[in-house]
Amino acid sequence: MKAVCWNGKHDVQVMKVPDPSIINPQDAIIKITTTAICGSDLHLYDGYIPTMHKGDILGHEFMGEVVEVGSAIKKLKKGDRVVVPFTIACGNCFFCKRDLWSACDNSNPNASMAEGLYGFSGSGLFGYSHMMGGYAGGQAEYVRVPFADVGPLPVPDALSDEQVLFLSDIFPTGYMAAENCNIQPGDTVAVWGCGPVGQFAIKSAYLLGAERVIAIDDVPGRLQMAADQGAAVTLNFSDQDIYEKLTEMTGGMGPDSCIDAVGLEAHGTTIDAIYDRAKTALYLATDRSHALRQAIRACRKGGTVSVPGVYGAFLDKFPFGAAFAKGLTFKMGQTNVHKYLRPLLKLIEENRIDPSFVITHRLALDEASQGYVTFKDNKDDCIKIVMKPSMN
Amino acid sequence: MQEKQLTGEEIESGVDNAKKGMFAKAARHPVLTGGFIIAGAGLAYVAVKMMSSSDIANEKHIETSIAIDKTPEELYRFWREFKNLSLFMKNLQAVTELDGQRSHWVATGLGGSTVEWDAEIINEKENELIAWRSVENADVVNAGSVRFQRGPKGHGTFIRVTLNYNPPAGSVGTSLAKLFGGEPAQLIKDDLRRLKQLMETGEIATIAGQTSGRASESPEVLDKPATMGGTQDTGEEANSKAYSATGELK
Repeated sequence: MKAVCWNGKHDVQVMKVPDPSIINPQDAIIKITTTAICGSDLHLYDGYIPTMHKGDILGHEFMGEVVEVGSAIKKLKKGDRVVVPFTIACGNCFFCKRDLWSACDNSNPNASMAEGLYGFSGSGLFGYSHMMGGYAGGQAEYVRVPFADVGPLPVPDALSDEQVLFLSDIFPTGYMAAENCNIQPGDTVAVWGCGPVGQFAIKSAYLLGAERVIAIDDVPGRLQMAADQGAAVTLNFSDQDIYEKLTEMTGGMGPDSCIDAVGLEAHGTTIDAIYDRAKTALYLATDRSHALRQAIRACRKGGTVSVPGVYGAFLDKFPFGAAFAKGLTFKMGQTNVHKYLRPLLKLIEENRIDPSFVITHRLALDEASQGYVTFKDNKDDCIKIVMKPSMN
Repeated sequence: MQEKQLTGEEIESGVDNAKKGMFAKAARHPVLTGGFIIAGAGLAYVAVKMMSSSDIANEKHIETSIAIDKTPEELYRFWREFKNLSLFMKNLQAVTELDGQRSHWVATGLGGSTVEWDAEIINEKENELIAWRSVENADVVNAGSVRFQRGPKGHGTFIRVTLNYNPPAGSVGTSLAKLFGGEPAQLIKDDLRRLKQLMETGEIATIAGQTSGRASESPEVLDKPATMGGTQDTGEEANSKAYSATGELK
C-alpha cells in the first residue's frame, strides 16, 4: 500500500510499504477513505517530538471501511464505515472506566519510554512517536486499529466523510478545550490560535453558552474564518498588545477563560517570543510557550486556562507566580476522544455544526509531501488539508 | 484502605499452609535471608547476621508493584498456573510443573542462549502469596515472592513482586543483567505491565510485526527520489513477542 512516512525533520514521503495485518485478536484493518494532516503533525514534521523513527507512518485523523476484524471482535463488522479516535484505548482499565480515555493504561506498548520522561504514560496514539506507542498511522491506504470494538465509531450513511472525519481528533479536541473552561452564562472566552483546533474551540465555546469569544492569531485567513464561521471577535497580535486589548474589552477584568490552541511552537513578536526562538534553536529549551504565557497573564483572577495545544517537554520562563497569585485553574491534556464521539456526532446529525467548514484543501494521498509544506508555511490560506487515497 | 503489609514471618510460615522447618531452611539460604530484609523489618537483623559479607555485596533486590483491575483470586489462579507466566514474561520460554512444589524454568538469555533452573515453592497462601526459590545448581540463584492484595475501592488488586538474586559465591559471576540484557527491575516492571494488559484486556499491546517504511533492499518511493523502501516493524524497542492469550482467559 501507499503510506506517508516520516523520514526526518522536514522530510515526509509517500512510500510503498507492506499492507498492515491483524496482529492482536481485538484488531481491525480499515481501508481509509479520508485522512487529514493535523496541526500536531507539524510538531513531528518540525522535529519537536522525541522518539520518531525514520520510516514511521504518520497520521492520526482518519476514517474508512472495515475490511478485516480479529478473532475477538464482537461488534465491528466488515463493511462498517467508521471514524477512528486518534487515542487508542482498551476500554477496561481504571482510566477508561472513568472516561479518561487518553490516559488508558493498556494501549501503549512502549509505556516505559514515556514514563522515563513524564512519570507515567498516556494512551497509545496513532502515528505519533514511539514513546506514544509507535503505532503506524492513518495517512495511508490501510491501517491496523487495535481495540477496534472500543474506539471506531460507525457513522450514518447520510453524513459525508468530510462531515464526520474530524470526530477523530480536532472537533473533540476543540470541544474538550471549551468544556474544560466550565463556561457560565455571560462568560468571555479568549482563544489563542485560529488553526483547526482553535476554530472548533470557538464554535464549541458558543455551543456551551459563552457570551463572547475573542480569537487571537496573526494569519488574516484564519482570523477571517474565526469571524465568518465562528462569529468570534478577532484580534491580530501583530497589530496590538493583546493583554491591553483583552483587558480593555472586559472592563479591566480579563477573559473568564483562556484557551491556548497553539502549543509548543508559538510564534510572536514580543521579547519573550524572540527569546524562546533563540533558546529552542540552541536546544536550551524544547517548547516555545509564548501563547501560554500571554494567556496566563491575560486571564482574569480565578479564571481557567485550558490547553488543547500540544507541549512536549520543558517550558522556560513559565509565569507560575502569576498563575498562583490569581488562583488560576489549569485544564489540559490529550483529548478523551471516546467520551465525545457520540454526543458530537449527535450535534452533527442535528445540523448544529458542520465540521467540514475548516477544510481549505483537498489532496490525493500521493500529494502529502506538498501538503505538509503548504500547511507548514500557511501557503494559499491553508487551514485544513484532507487527503483521499481514491484521488490518487 | 484494606491493604495490609504481610510480615516476613507470614510470608515464610504462612497461615493456612504452615510448613514446619521451612523457616530454618530458608534462613540458611543466602538469597532468602535478603528477602526477609524487605519483607519484615523485624527479621532484618537476624537475616543480616546470617549473611556473610560477600553475600551482602552480591545480593540484588528488586521490589515493584502494579494495580490490576481483577480480584486477588483471579490473579492468584492465573499466576499459580505457572505455564501462564511465559505469556507475559518476555524472556521466559516455558515453566513446567514437576510436582506440587517444584517447577522447571527455561528462559532466553542474551544472544539467544538458554538459561534454566528448578524452583520450589517455599510458601503459599491461597489467593494471597506465592514465594519460591531456586534449588541447587541454578544458573541464577533467585528467590522471590508475589503477593496479591486487594487495593482500595475501585483500584483492583495490588500485585507486589519481590525478587532477590545472587550469583553463587565463588563461582563465575553471573547476573540477571548479564543473562537477559537490560535493567532487571525494568524488565520485571515491563513484564508486570504486560500481565496487567493481558488480564484487563485479554491481549498484550504490541507493534511487533506492523508495517512501516523502514529501509529494505527494494526502495520504492512514490513522490520523490529517495533511498527507502518498505519493511515490517520489529517492534524491537518494546515487545519482540506478539502475544494473544484471549483464549486463555475466558
